Amino acid sequence: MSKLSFATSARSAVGLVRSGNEDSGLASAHLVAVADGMGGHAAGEVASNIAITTFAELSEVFTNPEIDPESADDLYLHSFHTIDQNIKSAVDERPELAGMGTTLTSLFLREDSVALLHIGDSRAYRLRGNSFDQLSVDHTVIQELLDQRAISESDVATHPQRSILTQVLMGEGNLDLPLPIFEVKVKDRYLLCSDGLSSVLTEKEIKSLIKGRDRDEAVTALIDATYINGAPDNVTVVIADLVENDQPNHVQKIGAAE
Amino acid sequence: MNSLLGSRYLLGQMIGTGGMADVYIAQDQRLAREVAVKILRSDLARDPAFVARFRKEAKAAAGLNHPGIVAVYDSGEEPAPYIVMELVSGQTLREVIRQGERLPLNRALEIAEGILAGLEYSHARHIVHRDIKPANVMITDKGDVKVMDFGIARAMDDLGVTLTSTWNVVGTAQYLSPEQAVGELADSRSDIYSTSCLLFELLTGQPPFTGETPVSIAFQHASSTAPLVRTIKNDLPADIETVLAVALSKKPEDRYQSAQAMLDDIAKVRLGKEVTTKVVGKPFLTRRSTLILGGSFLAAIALSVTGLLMSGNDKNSGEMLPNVVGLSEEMARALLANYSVTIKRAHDGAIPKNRVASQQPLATMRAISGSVVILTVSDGPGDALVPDNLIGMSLIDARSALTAVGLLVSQTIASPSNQPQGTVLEVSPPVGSIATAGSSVILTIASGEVTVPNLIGIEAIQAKTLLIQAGFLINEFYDFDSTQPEGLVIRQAPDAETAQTIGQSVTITINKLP
Repeated sequence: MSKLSFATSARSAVGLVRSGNEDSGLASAHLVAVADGMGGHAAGEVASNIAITTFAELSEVFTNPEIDPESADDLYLHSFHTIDQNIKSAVDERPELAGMGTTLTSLFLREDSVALLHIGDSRAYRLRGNSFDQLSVDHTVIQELLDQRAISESDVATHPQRSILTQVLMGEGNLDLPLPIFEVKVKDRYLLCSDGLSSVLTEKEIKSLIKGRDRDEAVTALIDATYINGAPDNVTVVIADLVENDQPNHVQKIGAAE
Repeated sequence: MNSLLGSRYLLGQMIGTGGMADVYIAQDQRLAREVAVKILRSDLARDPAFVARFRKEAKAAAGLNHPGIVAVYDSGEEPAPYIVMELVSGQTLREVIRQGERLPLNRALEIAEGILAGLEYSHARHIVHRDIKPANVMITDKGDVKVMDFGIARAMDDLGVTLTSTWNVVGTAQYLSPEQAVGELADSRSDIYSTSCLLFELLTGQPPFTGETPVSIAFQHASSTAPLVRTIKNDLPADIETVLAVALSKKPEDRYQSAQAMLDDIAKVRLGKEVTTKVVGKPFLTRRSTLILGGSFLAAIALSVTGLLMSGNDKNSGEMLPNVVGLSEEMARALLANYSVTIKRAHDGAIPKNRVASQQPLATMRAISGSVVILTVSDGPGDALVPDNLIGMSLIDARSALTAVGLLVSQTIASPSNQPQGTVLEVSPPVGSIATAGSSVILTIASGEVTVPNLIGIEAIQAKTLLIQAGFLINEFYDFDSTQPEGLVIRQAPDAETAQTIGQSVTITINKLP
């Protein structure tokens, strides 16, 4: 098989209600990520920026084709611990940032599969042909309630407490994350987004907006649709198309990490 | 233990143990009668919060003298806090009803009447039970009903302690009223709600809400409408369904306002008379009140989570902080009375002016009493700078640039020009000026004709996005066509492929259930 890459398009916007952007994102030929910071205005920006900046630095190592795949996976998985550590150090240095945290959802393209590393309520979706699937599972109270069948899917969209997180990177060092692996197919389209998108558009709507458009247009359509619905939060989207050629190894950082 | 308590009560056999206390049979040496003595568990007797709660319980219940209430005779503190009570020969309702089993309608109503009679008496004396549940209802050997454990007194200021301990120790949220679930004070109508949960269970074999954790059950009490009993057991009379629907209303003001009012309606059910009380059924968490309630609800959830976590951990690292985001500064300060609160102010479009926009450390973080909690209070929406490079941009780029800084295009005016159609000619408010974040901007653009896209049969959001991107404004209507899937566009005007001036409105009709 010839070499697979991500061809990406990414954008982050403040939205119509927030006064600053606490989201960050990253797009490159082998790694895409979205982080949604929280903890007061400045602190949220700092946290998501730390996540993406640290990730970008580490990715130079684990996306290096000369590294053997197992070590690459280890380094990838370990990068979340490094980010967590860096958040802790930042708080130690600047106590006013105490309590800050960030979500982080990322896909790492290996030889013929993607590895999903995920914490919080940002999301990873895959469009393959006509099927659109959420690959990540939210770390939210709502998701726990859904898992327990205490509420139904139809209650979620309107539930006032839908964004209480159960897990987040906040320098507490107690991470034990799985690393699910998904086989890839050429022409797969991956979408990473912050909850600024997934909380205002349904899965069906998101699918209708990214299907059949080229990726730049799809990103624009998603952001525009979010604004049509009032854009109550920062919104960040990264679209990664799986292509069979080498994409330039350029790392694009957006949002607070830009 | 075999000693004379308060130089008067000779302790005998232990007959029960609860979350907080152990219960013994004892001989009252002075009055030569058998009594029950409830002694606070020794591990809890060292915790001042529990001792205070136990003392309040004793004091509240001591004045109650009613056949439907287990009488409290005496109380004391040495060697551990204790309460001396009437010895009732019988079982608790929890032992009587096995899970999943129903009671005959008349017996279930009798038990509810027994509880309500006791409540009517105590409520008249301004004593709220706050914790009606099967384990607190005795069924005597003769079949009479007696309510016990009155007044788990809960003041706003010890909310944290009691919620935590209630859920931690008692471990049930199945009979919790919505207002208690969101951390608000219970009143007599909370008891009516809890009694109704219990009656619901007697009639159907299951409480109105079930779930694996107290948190998920509490969530449902606060936000989901209770099922109608006849959807579970369709052989029940319609009128009892009405009585329960009223009594299980989310808002206390929509319920029976007294135990007697509910007793009156139950009497009608028994006589086969029509119940005329109306169900109001307003949702408890309305959109408008979400923020305010949301805050305290989060506090309750946070605290309940604390309770769950703390059951296995030590508590030396401080209490978990409640969530105060969305609350007024005053309310937040009250909830954080044990901490040193610092206030900052900042713009925030999501949180109304003068309410807490963020807190540090975050809710559910542990913080030691007296430590600093920084609250950022919203100054309302901030300012946005109208980008100064808008003139000459295409409509689509201008919209992106505006949305990126938090502004919205509300109107486009087409004006003849030699520029390509859709080019931005003028901006109001003008470029470089300061506007309120989230406010709208009017663009004047070069006129020209644009082909209206076909929108019929596509997702509404898809259609709107296409229109906005083509340079049109949206006029949105709803109608219902049962032959078409919901959420799709079923009509549009003007028709697809017609030419329309850029910046004009296109009307779409979206299929929506009436």
